[in-house]
Amino acid sequence: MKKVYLTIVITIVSLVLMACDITDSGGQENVLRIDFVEAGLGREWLVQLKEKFEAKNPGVTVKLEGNPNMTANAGPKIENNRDIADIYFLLETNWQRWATAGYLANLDDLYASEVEDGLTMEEKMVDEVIDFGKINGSYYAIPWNDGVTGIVYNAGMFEENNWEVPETFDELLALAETIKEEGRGVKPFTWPGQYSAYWNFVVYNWWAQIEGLDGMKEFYEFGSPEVFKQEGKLKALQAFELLIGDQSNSMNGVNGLIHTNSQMYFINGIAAMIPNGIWIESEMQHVIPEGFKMKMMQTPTLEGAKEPLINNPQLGDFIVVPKHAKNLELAKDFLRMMATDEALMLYTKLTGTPRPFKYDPTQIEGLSEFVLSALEIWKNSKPLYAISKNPMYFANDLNTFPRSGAPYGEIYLGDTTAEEVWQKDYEYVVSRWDEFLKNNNMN
Amino acid sequence: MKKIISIVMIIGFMALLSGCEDAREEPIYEDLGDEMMIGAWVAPPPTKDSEGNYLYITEEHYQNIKDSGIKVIYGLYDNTMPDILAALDMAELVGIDYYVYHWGLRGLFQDVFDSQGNPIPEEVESDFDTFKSIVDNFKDHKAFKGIKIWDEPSADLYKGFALYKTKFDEYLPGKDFYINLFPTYASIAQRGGVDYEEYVSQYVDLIGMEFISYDHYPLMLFYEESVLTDDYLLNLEIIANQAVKSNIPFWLFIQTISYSNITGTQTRRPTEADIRWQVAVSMAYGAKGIQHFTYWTPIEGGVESFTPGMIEVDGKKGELYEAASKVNHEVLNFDHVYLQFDWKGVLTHSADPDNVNVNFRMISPLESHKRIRSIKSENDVLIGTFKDKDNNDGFMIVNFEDPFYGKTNEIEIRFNDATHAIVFIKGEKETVKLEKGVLKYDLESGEGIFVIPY
Repeated sequence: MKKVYLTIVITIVSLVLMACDITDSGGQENVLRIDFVEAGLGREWLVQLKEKFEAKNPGVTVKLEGNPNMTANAGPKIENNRDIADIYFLLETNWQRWATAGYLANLDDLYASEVEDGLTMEEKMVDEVIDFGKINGSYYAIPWNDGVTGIVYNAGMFEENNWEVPETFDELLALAETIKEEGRGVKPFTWPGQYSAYWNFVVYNWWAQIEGLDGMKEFYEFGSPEVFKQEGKLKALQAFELLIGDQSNSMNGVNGLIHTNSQMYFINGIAAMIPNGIWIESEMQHVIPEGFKMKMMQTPTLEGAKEPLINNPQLGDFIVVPKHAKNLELAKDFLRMMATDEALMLYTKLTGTPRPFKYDPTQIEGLSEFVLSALEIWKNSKPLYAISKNPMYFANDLNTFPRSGAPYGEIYLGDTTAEEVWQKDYEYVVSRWDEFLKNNNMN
Repeated sequence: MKKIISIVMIIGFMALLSGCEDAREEPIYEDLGDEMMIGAWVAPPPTKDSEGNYLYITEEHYQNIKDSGIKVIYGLYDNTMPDILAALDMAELVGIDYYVYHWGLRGLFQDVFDSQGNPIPEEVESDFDTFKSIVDNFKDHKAFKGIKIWDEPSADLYKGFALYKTKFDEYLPGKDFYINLFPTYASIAQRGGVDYEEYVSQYVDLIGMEFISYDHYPLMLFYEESVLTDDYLLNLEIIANQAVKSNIPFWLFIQTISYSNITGTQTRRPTEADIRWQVAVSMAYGAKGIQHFTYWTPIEGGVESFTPGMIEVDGKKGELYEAASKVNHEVLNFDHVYLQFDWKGVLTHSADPDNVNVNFRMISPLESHKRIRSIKSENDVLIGTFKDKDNNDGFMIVNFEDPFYGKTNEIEIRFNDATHAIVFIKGEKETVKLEKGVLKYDLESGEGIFVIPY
């Protein structure tokens, strides 16, 4: 009888305590949790990959948590080991510091493991990006999205007006004049003045055309302040100045626009061209008017180009696995599956975005005219991967425009000139070089 | 024997449920003179008219600050000596305090160490002379409360700050050495390579800070949709725990403006409910100061751009002036009670246990509270728990739903050992009779109530 009493008491006390239990459990065995930036690419691609993975791994559940602010949210989680996921898909941020601080899982074995047909993850990756995820001799990240950026144009408008797609910079300048003359109020360009770094998608291409990929590699190694004297950077900025420093080539009020506003003006035919990327179609899918046709053009070539066909994929989005992930091996299995041809083709089909692996997405059926035009550029161009391993870059001491950030708005407004930006960046770096070395223990 | 066992069990069970406390008389809280610190970033700028008169460093504009409930205004653009002195005069005239921001005081005591990390006496003295020559101009001014030394420092700078503070305290005893910390979502590089807890603990221990101040702007905007930062509560938890450990108060910034930057980060324009919600959440963690970011709308954003704050760029009162003022005064109406309580931790209650709020998942809340028998709610609830010197419990009960969506939250909390409760609703006191210990209340969007059951 005592046992019965005791059991009753224990049960009641447990119930009382349980009623007050308001804690939440963290990661679970056999539940692979994936946190991802849920923005322009949506979540359907991940939903379908989840289903494939669960089918191949009976008893395993994949739990998805998407949030547009995930890149900012992930840091506190990974660094404090709170509410941690097994895999993170994030936009460009300084993951290298997470790796060096010991927060990330080492992925060397994943890179060395076979994905399919005898090819390892490393072999399957586009050669130029193999080092993307490497730091201090080991792999800690995988590149997520590859990309295509440049000038997107209103293909319907071009056809209607018999405007030729320019192949050279001079032809682009001439086209801008033609649009102003024949376009019945249409302006050549719209762009987001609030996020003017969208012009990097064009200016970096011009710069790399002049310097070649080796020159760009040298720049991003930041071996000395002298790299800031590269002629290609000056010529690219001067091309921008000629094109956009002429305010009549942009619609009125661009300096107040954010990206979505400028994209709305573009799809509504207020301007004929916009600096943008392959994601624009997916980002604007719900508001694109019926019958609207757009394409991306190969960035028109500057005179004296060493490498006329350049694509700046804006590589930066990445995938990491936290060191304290509950399901480390499942996470690696999932990432391995994502590198198979089947998964890569599925990804591109659903997102309109390539990944930096060796496959041919132009063979995918059902892609839009716009995505196909961008993928042709991706396939035919040399990729400019602006990757730096220099600690001064990780510490935000050095970047492409270290003095004041993207200078396009100021050049547009006439507050500065291309040459002044170029010269002052150089002087700024020279004057602070020793300090940057000291800050990063590089003396 | 069975009877004895039964009696013991019943007593034990009742003790579990009741917390073994007797009903008490209504506690009385005299006004002991303690007040919440209410500060604000960006004082009226030193713009002048064609005749050289200040347009905004005027009695009218400073009176507006005081009327809003702000007690300390922080200089920013008024950073030359004539502007600082004019601002101090206006602050004194209306009866508020002022934090000085002077470029000449910003980088002092950083480059005074040799290669071994030891201070070089001549360099230290030289910086101290510079310091004295600047602060001598205003150190005895009645409105001078302290100096804004740095906003969002890297931990690399702490060593210099520690030396700076020693000299500061020696010369300006009783004045505030103000440094404001980064939020948890800042990068490791921004923090100087240390994790966030270390970033905060070193700030207190190495520099010897007497209060913690930090910012965290939780109201984000993506594609016209509101998103809260996932780590808003985690940040509060880390800071509040450090404050308790070091027995010092903490203050935090309240987002009273929207900003965006070139990286695409965009925060949303707050409403009155958003401001009230941030303040209530902060108080649930025992905050003893709130600071508005910003009072005056920043004139130039650099890489950031801003929508109008409490006061627009041209000096007009914006709608957020009324909203923030209202919330400030609600706090000031009952801060004399709230400040008599010590913070003890938070409880969380998820309306949908299968879909726990990510902010809740990030923290380590109390598992239970002996004074609370049960919680029911329509939506998520955050409860700050407190004790006063007489062992009375206090609870800051907050509707933890993003105020953007305007959700109300019907709550039902059953207290142990309570027949009544003092409830502060928007700063106003009500005494409520509890039926079987139950408090029912319909929290508005963004609302928090402070409850003292007895």
